[in-house]
Amino acid sequence: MRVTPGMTANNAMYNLQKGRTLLGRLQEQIASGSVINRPSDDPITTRQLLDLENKLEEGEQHLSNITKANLWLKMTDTALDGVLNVVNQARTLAGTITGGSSDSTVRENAVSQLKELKKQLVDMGNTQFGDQYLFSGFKTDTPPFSNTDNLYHGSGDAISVEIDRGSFAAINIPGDELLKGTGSYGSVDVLQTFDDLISAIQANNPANIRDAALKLDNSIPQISNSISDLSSRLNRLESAKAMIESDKATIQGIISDTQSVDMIEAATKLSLHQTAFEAALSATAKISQLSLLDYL
Amino acid sequence: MGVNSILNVATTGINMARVAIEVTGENIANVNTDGYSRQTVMFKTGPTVTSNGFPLGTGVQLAQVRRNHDELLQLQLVKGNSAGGESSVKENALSQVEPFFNELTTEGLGQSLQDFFDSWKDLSTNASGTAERQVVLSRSETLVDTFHRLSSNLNDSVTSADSSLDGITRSITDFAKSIASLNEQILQTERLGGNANELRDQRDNAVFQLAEKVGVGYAEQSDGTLTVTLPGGEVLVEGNKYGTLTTQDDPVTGLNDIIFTSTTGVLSDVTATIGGTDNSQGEIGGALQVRDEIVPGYLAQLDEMAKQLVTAVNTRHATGYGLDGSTGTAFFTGSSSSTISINSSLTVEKIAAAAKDPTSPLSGPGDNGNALELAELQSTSLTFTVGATSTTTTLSSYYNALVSKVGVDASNAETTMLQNESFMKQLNTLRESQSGVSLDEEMTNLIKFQKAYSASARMITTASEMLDTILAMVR
Repeated sequence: MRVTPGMTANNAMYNLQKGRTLLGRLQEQIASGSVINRPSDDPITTRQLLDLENKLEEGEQHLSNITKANLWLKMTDTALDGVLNVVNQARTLAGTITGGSSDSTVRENAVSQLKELKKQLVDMGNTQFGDQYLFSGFKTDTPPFSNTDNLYHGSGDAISVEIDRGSFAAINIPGDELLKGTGSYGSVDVLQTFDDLISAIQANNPANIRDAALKLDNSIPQISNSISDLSSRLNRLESAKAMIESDKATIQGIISDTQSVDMIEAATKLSLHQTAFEAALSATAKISQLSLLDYL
Repeated sequence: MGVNSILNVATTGINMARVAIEVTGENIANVNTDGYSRQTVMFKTGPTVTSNGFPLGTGVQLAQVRRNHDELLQLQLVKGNSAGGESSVKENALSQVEPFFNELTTEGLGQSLQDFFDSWKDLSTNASGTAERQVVLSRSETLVDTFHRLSSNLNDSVTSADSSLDGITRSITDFAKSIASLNEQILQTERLGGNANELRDQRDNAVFQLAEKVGVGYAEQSDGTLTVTLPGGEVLVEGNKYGTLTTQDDPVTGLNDIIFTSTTGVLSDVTATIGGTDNSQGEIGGALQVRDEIVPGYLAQLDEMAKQLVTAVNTRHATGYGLDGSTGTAFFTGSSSSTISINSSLTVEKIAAAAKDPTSPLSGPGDNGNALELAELQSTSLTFTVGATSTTTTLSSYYNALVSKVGVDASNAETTMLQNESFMKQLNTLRESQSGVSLDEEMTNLIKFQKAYSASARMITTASEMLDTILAMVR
């Protein structure tokens, strides 16, 4: 084959260009730290990466939901502890006076304490988180209980939050299930029982006092049930959180495996290609200068 | 035979050596001229005459100044350049479209979509929260803007491919014109027995460059002129006549139609055929592919995505209730990536997070039932139909598939372009090997011909001395 300087020049230019492109690509990978910098670098892996990143984002959102649900549930938990405490105090008080008392001051004292405790109970039932009533169901803007009547003013709905794809957790306990005994925790109308106890003591009617005290006894498991329901929800949130976090770690691992540059490999390649490119440059420079003209 | 014939032979020698040096000079001068083919001078012996019973030569004659040229290689170069033109236009356009979809490094539509659904999830944790509602609105605003931006970017790509047709058709006409005029010059030169090597080089080069724009066919006629045809079979150049290509606005599509005016002045619309089969040839084919198939394909998918999003969100949103008890409110309006927007009558209050009427005595503002359902749309499979293809998948997944498709197209275009480049490089190497000028070779030839020139000159000196000798005898 006849070889002309034009051929040499074309070849040199083509190969130098290719060398430069390769060096540029390696440089980009090292500088950006990722092998895939645009979809065309690897379209299939890009698709996988994007799907994984969507999953990751979804996980982040669920974690944020869980954090909010946690706050709400913990606030509820504190209020429930308070309710239990109040009911316990009332029961102790009722225990001291089950047989009735002929001493009207003792009775009046008990009545005023019980009235105070009921007020506390209503306050606990009206606990707010921000400007929302925890025990109102959907009617978060309405106080569920009042001191003037024993009715429940909220709704019986559960507020659900998504804690994982397709998995929901209720973050509230409707107040009627807790204090009116309408749900599965128990069937004691705690508010009415307080009033019954108060009027029985006022009337000094031992039978009625015992009746009311018995009801108070039964309301303790009702409240404890709600507390354990709440703890199991908190546990569920904890385990959902742990699972999402472990998923997150796995996904991040996969993303970094597929997308991140193996720096050692890239640096080795870079130095190899750099040497090759320098050799090409020097060979090109030498060959291009050769001419018969220099020897004539 | 006498001394005179020695002078005559020497004169032919000196003349031919001069011609050879001239050709060498032409070669050296054109060492870097595009499309130049190296010329070689070919000699033959002069007719023999019989002298004293022996045949003797009468010197040297010019047989031909040969153009080192390979027709088949030229044909391959022309075809290769057509494929190269198409692939480089496509690669160029796709490398400009790809960044719009580069979710890996920038936050594009995929992120906006995610943020949109995340804002619904946030709202579901606090259904009455004004801040959360405001975030839903602003995330939707971003989503809508992102749709608009993508759509207008893609439309810009269509417009730019469309307006590039202007320049391409103009240069096709220019090349056709110069091929026709070269045809004429070659015809005139060769009719007079002249040497049209350089003109033929120029014409080959013009055809080569024309092929980059459009996939032409060509055939040399017996009179030496070249007939060039367009992919649809229309005759672009015949003898010294040429047709012209122009663009004309199509009143329906608003894009350019390509109009061919034949050598006889007949107009025809060649938009459908000018790019060759599947618009696979020449820059014009590439530009038509980008304009009519590739980018509109992406736009159609984006439009379908916007349409399904609007339908799904609106259907779900309309069943829910706003804080003010309003229901049946549309969330979005529009039905494509360019027309999608937020319902202008939608306010923070009217965002339907509740599944039941919050103003009714049985429910309240804490109702997040519909917000949960709306957030669920993120993982709900929808059916996307573009043309005859239906896909059932989630919005994010559909978009990710589109990103991946753009990536595949861009990567294919780049690979094809690189392959064409390397193919053309090999053809060019072959052409260089055949037709390229080697300075070393020319220098060697120069010395060879210079020596021949000197030797012939010495012959004349010798003959002259011989004549002097004879004249001295007479004196």
